[in-house]
Amino acid sequence: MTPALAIERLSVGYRVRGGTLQALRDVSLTIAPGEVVGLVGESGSGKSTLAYAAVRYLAANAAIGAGRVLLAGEDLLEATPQALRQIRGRRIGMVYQDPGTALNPSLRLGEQVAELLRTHLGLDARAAEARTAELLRMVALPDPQFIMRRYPHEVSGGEKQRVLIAMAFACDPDLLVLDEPTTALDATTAAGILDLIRALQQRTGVAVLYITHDLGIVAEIAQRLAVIYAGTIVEEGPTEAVLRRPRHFYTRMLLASLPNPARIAERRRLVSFPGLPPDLRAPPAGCVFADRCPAVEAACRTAPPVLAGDAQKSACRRADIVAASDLGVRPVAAANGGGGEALLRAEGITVEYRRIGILDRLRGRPGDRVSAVSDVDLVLARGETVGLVGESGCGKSTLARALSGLVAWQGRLVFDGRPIAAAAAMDRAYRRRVQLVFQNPDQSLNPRMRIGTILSRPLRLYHALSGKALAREIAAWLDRVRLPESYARRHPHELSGGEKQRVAIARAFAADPAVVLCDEITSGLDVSIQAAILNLLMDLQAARGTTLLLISHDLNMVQHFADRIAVMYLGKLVELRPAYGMARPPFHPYSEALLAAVPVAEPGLHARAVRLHGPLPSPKNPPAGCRFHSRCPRKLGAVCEAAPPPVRTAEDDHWIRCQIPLGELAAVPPIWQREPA
Amino acid sequence: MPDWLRRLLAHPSGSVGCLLLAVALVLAVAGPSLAPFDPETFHPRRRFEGPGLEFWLGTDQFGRDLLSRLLHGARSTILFGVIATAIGTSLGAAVGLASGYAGGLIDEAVMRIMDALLAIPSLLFSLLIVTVLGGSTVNAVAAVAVTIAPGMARIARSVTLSVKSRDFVAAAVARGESHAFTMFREVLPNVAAAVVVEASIRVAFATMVGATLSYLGLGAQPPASDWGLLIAEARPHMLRNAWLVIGPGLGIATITIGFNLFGDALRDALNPRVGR
Amino acid sequence: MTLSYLVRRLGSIVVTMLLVSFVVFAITQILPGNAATMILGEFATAEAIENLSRQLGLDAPWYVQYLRWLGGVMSGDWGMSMTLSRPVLPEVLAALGRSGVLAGLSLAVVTAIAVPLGVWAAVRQGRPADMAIGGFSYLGISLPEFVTATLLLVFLVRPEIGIFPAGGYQPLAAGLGTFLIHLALPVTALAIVLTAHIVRQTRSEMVDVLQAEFVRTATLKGLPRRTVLFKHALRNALLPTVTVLALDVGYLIGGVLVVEDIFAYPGLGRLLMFAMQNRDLPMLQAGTLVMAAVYAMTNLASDLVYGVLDRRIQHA
Repeated sequence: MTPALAIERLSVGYRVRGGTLQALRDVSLTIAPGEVVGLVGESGSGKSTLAYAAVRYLAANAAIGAGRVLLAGEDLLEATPQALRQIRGRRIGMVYQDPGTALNPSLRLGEQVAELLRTHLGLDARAAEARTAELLRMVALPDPQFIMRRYPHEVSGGEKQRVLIAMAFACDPDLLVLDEPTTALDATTAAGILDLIRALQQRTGVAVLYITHDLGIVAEIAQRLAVIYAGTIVEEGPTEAVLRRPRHFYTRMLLASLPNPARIAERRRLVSFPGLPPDLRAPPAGCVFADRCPAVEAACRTAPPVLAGDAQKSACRRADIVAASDLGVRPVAAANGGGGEALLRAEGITVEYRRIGILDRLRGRPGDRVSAVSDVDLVLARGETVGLVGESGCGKSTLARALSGLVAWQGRLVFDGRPIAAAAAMDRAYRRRVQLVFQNPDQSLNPRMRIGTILSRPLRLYHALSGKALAREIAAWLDRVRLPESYARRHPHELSGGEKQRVAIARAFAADPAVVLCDEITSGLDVSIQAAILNLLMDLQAARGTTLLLISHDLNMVQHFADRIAVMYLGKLVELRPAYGMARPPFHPYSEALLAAVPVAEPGLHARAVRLHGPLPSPKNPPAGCRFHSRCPRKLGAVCEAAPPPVRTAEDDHWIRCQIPLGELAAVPPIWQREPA
Repeated sequence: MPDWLRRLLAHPSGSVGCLLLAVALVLAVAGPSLAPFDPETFHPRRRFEGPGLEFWLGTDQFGRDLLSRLLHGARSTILFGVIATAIGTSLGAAVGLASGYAGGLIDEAVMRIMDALLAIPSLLFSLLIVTVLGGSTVNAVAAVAVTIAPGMARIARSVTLSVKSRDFVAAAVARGESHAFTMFREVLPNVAAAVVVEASIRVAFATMVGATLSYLGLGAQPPASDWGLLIAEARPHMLRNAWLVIGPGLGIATITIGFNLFGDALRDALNPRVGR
Repeated sequence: MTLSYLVRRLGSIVVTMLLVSFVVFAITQILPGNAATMILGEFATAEAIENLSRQLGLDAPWYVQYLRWLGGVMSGDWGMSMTLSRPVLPEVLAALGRSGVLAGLSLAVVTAIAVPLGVWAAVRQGRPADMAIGGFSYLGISLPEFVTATLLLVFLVRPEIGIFPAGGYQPLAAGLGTFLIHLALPVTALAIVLTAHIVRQTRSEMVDVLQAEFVRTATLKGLPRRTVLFKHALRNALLPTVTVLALDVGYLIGGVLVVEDIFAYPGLGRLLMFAMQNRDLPMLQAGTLVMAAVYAMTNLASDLVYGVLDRRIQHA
């Protein structure tokens, strides 16, 4: 049978300063009709280039060196512009990473779907509109007529992505190219989108090329997967086989750098990758992974390995030893489980933003009041790690900013036995002891300062160092975060993302703090680098006894490192629990949904679907009673809308804020179920 | 060579702009000594000559050599825009930086005043000021500087606001740095690039306004040979010798094109988003 | 767009105009030699000047004078022209009408030429057409109006051509041809700079938009190139251009001053130049105030248009 898509020995280069960036080198990939193939790679691996090569849409500075892209046997690289137009949108549908920018901001959503139908299917305006409504219903948008009349900025990210999926399926295509369709979305929204894609694929039998960086997603949706690294496919085969017995060291290490939420009890240190991917302007002669591979031999560096094998192909000379080799993964010391001496005690912390318009002033109204953080109690014990988890807009970053005195707050704060009355009372002594690491080092490191100057600030301010002692200490801190001493003379833009974040971490720890607040510090980084950063953080903590607050949207990553987990929703803490018992009920319904939304890269392990309704309400106007009631899958009824939910204490260090009694909350089936092998 | 300078010279319009500015620099420094004749010497029998072997660009109504007059007028024509912009930019940038950094009511009040100043079209504003103070080069420079300042203040302020919202400033605040350090070491270096780019484009504008003021008799006064003034003096005779208008006109265009090209290229070169 | 936004915007215009009136008053009041000297001539006795000053209220403190003047402006009494000995307001309004014709026609010409050129240049980015348009626009923004206007005079107002008058204004009543032929050269002189500026603006917006992801979406939907360019890209590129167009009205006003002077066009610009040369204070104050008001109103209008057109802006 002719494959739906066959990419044959494709090479693509980008002309850049200093030569040609060889984004894809001799890549082949086939997708049978009706098959779902996952293409997994990190940023810069060439996976997006491959995705867009499949629709022959490449940047102006791209040049296709060699190869063919066959859609049902027809070479797209030879197609005329007109033929290409008839293929795009009709025979190939696309879904993009960021639905926020993929839709035209000045056209109504209905028109953006309908124009596609008019162009390709020749429908008249009325028929196109009727069909648009059907399509929107198909992607489970509850009120198609309403959505059709909206502009993109008026609907949520998940809804936008559903509209784009409707477009992709509109003309009943033969092939779907999905470019990280869930990456820009919150975890619970992403899980819903993935459900939808899976259901529609099964219904229509369309062939799918699914691009992602997340092995967990591939495990849930793809029958076959290809792993791409530095512009070459290093491993390819049936999903289950590759995940169970990887035959390339890159795949193996990628798997080992991911925590498995279902195996939280058997915590081990995550594998971190040494070094950086190769410079693709001058790709290595041998194996592209040689510099980072734990089992590299001299022969690996001389000749490029060939992608070989029967069903499961690998481009590793030592493919047979991959699965059995020891990556040096050690178990992590038992969590201390909290309960130690309280270092930072926050009670009833509330942060409000007020906005008063001129009309409000004229009419004497108080104006809009947004409570970003509402009445949060949290205790950080000396030396422990607390994970603070929630989706975007839940107020977790605002809480970190309040604790470091960047926004005004109300409530009570006691630090090391000393009460702090307000943000203004946070003096230099407090600021020194409570440090903040920001999400994006591009934002948090001054681009016009050298790394040495950046690191010198806490040392000068808090330790009054100068001259030689200062230079010595800067070098020592670079070393402690495993960066070469010479980096002191560089500017931030000369460093990679992971390196920049190490500098930011060094700057925080150089103050010799008791508490470090880490606000989404790995969210912009690749999986392999995330593990390295978090391992580094743990080592620094172990050496210095620092208390950590790990703020993240990624429950899976955080629970692996934290002693306790706090879950936040719309400005409120809804649950606080020890991390080691994370998989054990009772759960707050929101925590349950978050847990179930984590994609697991373990074949045969399936999460129970716990899906939330509707979009996240605006913090300007949070639902009355329990703030979660509008999306709760276990809502009891009027009582949830009327009264704020009580705090129910399950164990010493585990409480849940919910109307449902603990017994009922505990009486749920396990989140993960293993298929009998 | 710093990265941005390399990118500037590699930029096609950047290299042309740099070349034109180099020519302008030579003219401003060495213009008078390059002149083949004394600009004030009359050649009564050679009036209204077109370009020729002896008088390369021809002569005016008194038989003065046009090329020599242009070369003598170059320095003040070019320096006018540079100096007016330098003064206006420093004033405006200081106001904008302070206002944006302070924020709140101070910022609100300062920006209202800047808005009011901007609401008077700049050429009209300059004309008003020069009319009040009396026409002279110094007054014209002051007038143009005053009209440049509010626009620069707004730009500096808006860049300051966006820099202020970046996390490295939050980090400085959370660290307990002094206001002086935060403003001058953290914020200012990140505002400077945008201000410099904007200023280099404003030089072109200031040069044009300066020439216009001279043309209207409100800037440089005879017997100076500022290029705007040359065109004004040539007007009654322009049908006899069009070169008297074309020569200084092309001169002004060259300088302003140079600064425009340079400023645009500098913007691209300093903006790492473009050209990567 | 909310009512609150409208109220705030109008409020800020009022504040701005008050500040402008103060600036105008302040500048004109430090003119050397006060109004009395100007009326009586330089050889009048000190006593006569003092008497007239008292009569005119010039001995009052500056803020009283300012409030008096402002009160007059509000109630429609804009004072008497010192040189024309006629009320200022009718003169200014008549001139404003004629200037409006000139400026409006220029804007129309500019928009009609510049936007298509800018789009064309963006679509042909880096090709000869783009280079040519880019070169032209650099030249355009680099030539002051007095140079272009003078060059137009040099080359087009020659006896041997004999089509264009050297200046002046003919009302529409004198016939459409006569009316337009008198406007042709001043409009051209004004339009060159603005066209160049708007071409650059449109091109750069269009280049940005063409790189936007939603344009990629439109292309990969298999829509015809025309639809992608005009329905998806241009619509979004034009919005910022609207704002720039309004800002250019300030530029246009400056150009009007020079161009009207050169072509002896009896508009507000020429009236203002006349007032400046003769130190006619009331005329100067009135003219400046009107120009600033026009500018402020244009900016308001563009803000409102922008707000209506751009769905992404939510004025809270």
